[in-house]
Amino acid sequence: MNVRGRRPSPPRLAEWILRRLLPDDEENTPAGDFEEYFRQLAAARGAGRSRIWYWGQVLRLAPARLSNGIYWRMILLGDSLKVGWRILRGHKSFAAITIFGLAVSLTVGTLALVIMTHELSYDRFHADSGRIHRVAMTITSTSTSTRKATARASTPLAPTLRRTRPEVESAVRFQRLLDPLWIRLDDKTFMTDRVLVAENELFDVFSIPFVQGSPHDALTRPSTAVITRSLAQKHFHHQDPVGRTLMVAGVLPFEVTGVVADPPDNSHLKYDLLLSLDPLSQNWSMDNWGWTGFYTYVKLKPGLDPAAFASRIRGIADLYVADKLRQWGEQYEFFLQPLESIHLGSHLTQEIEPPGNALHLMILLGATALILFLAIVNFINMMIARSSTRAKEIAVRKVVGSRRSQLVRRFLAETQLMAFLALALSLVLTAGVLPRFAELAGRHLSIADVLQPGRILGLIGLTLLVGFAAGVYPALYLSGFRPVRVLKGADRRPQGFRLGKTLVVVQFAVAVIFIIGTLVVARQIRFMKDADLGFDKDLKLVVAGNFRKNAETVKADLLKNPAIRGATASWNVPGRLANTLLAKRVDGGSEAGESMAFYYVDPDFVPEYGIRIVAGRNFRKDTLTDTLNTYVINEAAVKALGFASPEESLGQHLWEGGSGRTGAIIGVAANFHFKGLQNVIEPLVLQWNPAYFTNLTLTLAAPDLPKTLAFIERRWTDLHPGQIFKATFLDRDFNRLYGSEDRFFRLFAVVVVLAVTIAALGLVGLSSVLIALRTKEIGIRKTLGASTAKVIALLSGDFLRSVLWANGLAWPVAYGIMRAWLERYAFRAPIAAADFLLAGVSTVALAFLAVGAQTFKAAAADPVESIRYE
Amino acid sequence: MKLMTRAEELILLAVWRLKDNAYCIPLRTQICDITGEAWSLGSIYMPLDRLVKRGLLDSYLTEATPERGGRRKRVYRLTEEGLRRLREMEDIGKRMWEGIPNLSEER
Repeated sequence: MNVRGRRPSPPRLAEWILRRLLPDDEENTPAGDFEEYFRQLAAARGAGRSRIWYWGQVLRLAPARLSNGIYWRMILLGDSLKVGWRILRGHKSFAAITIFGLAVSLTVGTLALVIMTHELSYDRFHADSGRIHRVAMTITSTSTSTRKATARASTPLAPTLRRTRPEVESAVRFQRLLDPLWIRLDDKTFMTDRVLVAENELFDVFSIPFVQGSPHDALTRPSTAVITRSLAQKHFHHQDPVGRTLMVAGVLPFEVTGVVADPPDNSHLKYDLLLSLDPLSQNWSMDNWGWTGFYTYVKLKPGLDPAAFASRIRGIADLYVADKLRQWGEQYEFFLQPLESIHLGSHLTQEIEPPGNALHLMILLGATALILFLAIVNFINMMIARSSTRAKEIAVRKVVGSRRSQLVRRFLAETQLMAFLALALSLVLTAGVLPRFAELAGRHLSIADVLQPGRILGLIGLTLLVGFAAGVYPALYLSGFRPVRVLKGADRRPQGFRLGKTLVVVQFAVAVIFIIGTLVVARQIRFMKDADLGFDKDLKLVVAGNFRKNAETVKADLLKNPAIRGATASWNVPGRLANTLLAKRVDGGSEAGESMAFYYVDPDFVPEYGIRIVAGRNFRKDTLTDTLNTYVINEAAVKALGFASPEESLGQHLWEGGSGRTGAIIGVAANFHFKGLQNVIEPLVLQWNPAYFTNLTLTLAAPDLPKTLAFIERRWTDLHPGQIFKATFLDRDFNRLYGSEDRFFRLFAVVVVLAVTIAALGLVGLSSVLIALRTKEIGIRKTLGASTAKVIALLSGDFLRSVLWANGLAWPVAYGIMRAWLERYAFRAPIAAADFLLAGVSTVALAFLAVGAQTFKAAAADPVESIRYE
Repeated sequence: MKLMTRAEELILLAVWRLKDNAYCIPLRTQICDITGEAWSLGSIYMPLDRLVKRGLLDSYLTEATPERGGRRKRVYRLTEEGLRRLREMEDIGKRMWEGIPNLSEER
C-alpha cells in the first residue's frame, strides 16, 4: 500500500485549518497525533476513508475553538475599551478636540450620505422604473445647423407610438401648465400650482397609488380630474371629494374621479391636480408635429434593448410630416432618456422641474471626503504628538509579553471607541442641523431619513472606516516603541515628525482651496445679480390676472396713484419660461426656420423695462395695425434669421409657426438677458398680442411700498372678484434663477467654515503638545539670553511656514478647479487675485491665532519653572 | 478525595503499561483494543489534560518523526502522585469485589 514517495498525507486545507484551531502548543503535537493516526487509518482502510475522518475531526473541532477564541477576544476588547475610556477621561481637552473634530466630520458625512442617497433615489420608486423612458427631441435647423434639445416632444408622438410600435407597453403624453390655475369649489376659490393635463395612460406608465377611484378610468372621460391627497385634505376637509365638481378658471367644470397619494419628494414629476385632456385639448392642435408642447413617456416591454428602440423612432416624424419639415427647414430627432437618470442627468430646455446638479453633488461629496480626511489627519497628529504620554504604558505592556499585533489591536480598539463616541455626538448634531441643511439643499429631509436601517449600517461602516484610517498609523507607530529605550528614559520627543508637518500643510492647503472656492462662487453670484441685464428689474411688481380685454383701462386707473410710475401688460416677464415657436423669413432670401422665444407684450413693455431699440421703432399705441401684424425682434434673432445687420431686417416679413400668421419686422431691440446669465441670449420675438395678457408689470416708487401694495390689491380684487391676489417682485423672481447657485454657495460656505474650524482645531491641539514638549528647551534658551520675542518667532515660525507652503500649493489647484466651475456660465465674473490673497492672509492670521496664545504663554514663562518641568 | 472516572483510570493504566511509548496514538489503540470500543482522539485528550492538570501525569517531548509530518510527540508518564492514586484505585476495586462470588458462575 505504501508506495515510496507517494505516502498519503492529510488534506492540505484541512491541515491548515487544524493548525489555526488547535491550542497554541509550540510544538503542535496534537497536529502530529492527527497526522500519525491519519497514516494508520490510511494504511488500514484506505486514503479516502482517512481523509473523511480527518475532515470530520477538523469540522467537529471548529465551533468550540472559534467561539472560545471570540470569547477571549471580546474580553480583551472590553479591557481595551475600559482603558481607552479611562485615558479619555484623564485627558479631557485632548478627548474633546479629537472627538469633536471627528463628530463634526461625521456629521458632514451623514448629511452627504443622506443627500446622495436621496438624489440617487429619484424616480426609482416606480415599478419597472428601468423600463420607463422619456422621449425628448432635438430640433435642427437645416440652414443654420443650430440644434436645440427640448424635454418635450411633438404632440402626436405618444399616440403614434402606442399605435405603431409593438415594443411599447404603454405611452403617455401630458402637459404641465405654466401658470398657476385658479379653481372655484362651491363658493370658495383657491390657486394650485402644479397642474398636469394628461392622458389616462399616465397611470399605466407610472406607479401612482390611488386612495380613491381607479387607475383604469380616472381620466378617460372628458372633464375629469384627479387630485392628490393633500389637496383633498386642504380643500375638501372631511368631505368626500369624488363626484364633486371643480370649476377650473371659474368656467370649466371638471368632475373629481379619484384621489392619489402625493408624489414623493424624490420624484421629478410633481403635481397637485391632474386634468383630462378633453376639453382643454379642443382648442389645441393635437395633430401638429410642429407643436412640441407635451412631455412624452414610454414604458417598453420587458427585455427590450432601449438603444435599438431609440434608433427605430429617431426619425419617426419623417414618416408623417416629411414635407412640412422640409418646408419649415427643420429636422426632428427623438431620443430616449432613462427615467432614473432624468433628475441628475438631463439638462434640456423645458425640464419639468429644475434638475438636480450632479456637479454640485460631486463637489459636495469631494468636500465631505476632504473634511473627513482633515479630521483623520488631526487625529493622527494628536496621537503621534501625544505618544510620549503612552510610551511607558506601551513599554511595560511589551515587557510583560504583549505582542505587537496585540498592541495594534488595542490601539485600534481605542480609536474605534473614540470614533463611535463621535458618531453618537454626530447623530445629535445631525438632528440639530438637518432641517437647516434640507432647506439649503431644497429637499424635504428629516431625521427619519437618517434613521433607516440601510443608512445606519452605512454610517456604522463609515465610522469604522474613519476609525481605522485614523487609528492604523498611530497604532503601528506606538506599538513600534523599543521598551528598553523608553524605560531607560531616552529622548521622548516623537520621532519622524516630518509627517505631522506635511499633514498640517495638506490640511491648510485644503482649507485655502475651500476659502478661495467660496469667494469665487460668491463673486459669480454677485456678478449675476448685479450685472446689467439689458433691462430694469428694480421695483417691478408683477401681478397675475386676466387683463385680456381691459389692460389699458386698468393701467390708466392704477397710474393715477403717484406711487405707481409705470405699467405694462404682457404674457411673459423676463426670468420666467417663455413659449417657443418656429419663426421663418418669408422674403425668400433663405429657407431658414428657427425656434424662437415669443413674448406677447403691449407697447409700454419696451420703455417700461428700459430695453434699448437699436434700429427701427417700438410698437405705437396709436397705430392699431401694429397689433399682431408686426414684430420687434432682438439682435440674436437678427443673427439667427440670417440678416447682416439690424437695419437690413426692418420691413422684412416673418412667418410664425403657432398661428401661421405673417408680419413685418418694425424694430430691433438690444439683446437683454431674459433667461438669466447662465444662458446665452437666445433669439426673441416681441409681438403686441392682447389676447394673452395675464401679467401686469408695475414700476413702483420706493417709499411706502406696503401702502402701494395694499392699494394695488384692492383695485385688483375689484376686477377679479373671488380670486386670490398674486404678485411678486421681479428682481426676487429673477434672482430665483440663481437659486441653485445661491443655495450651493450657502451650503458650501458651511462646509468651508467646518473645514477651517477643523484645520484650526488640529493646529491648536498639535501646537499645544509640541510646545509642551519643548518647555525645557525654551527655558534653556531664555537662560542663555533669548528674548521673549525671539522665542515666539522661533515657535510660531514653524507653523507659519507650513501655512505659507499650504497657500503655495493650494493656489494653482484652486485656480484650476474654479476655472472649470466657471466654464458652465455663459457670462462669468473674472477670477480675482484679491480672493487668493484674502484666503492667504486669513489662513496665516488664523494659524497665528491658533498657536499664538500657547506660544506666548510658553515664551513668557519663567525659565526656572520651565527647566524644572518634567 | 475525589474519585477519578473510569476513563481516567483506564488511561492512567495504559500510560503505565506503555512506558516510553505512552503518547496519544498508542494510548488510544490500546484502550480501543482492550475495551473493544472506538475511542476518538478527543476522548483521549480530554482525560489526559485533566490528569496533567491534577498532577497525576506529566509529559515530555521526543524527537520529531517523519510519519508525524515532522512534529514531535508528547509522551506522558506517571508522577509519584499518579502512581499512588493508581494503587489506591486498585485497592478500592479489590475491596469492592471482595466477597462477591464468581459472576460468570452465577445464575
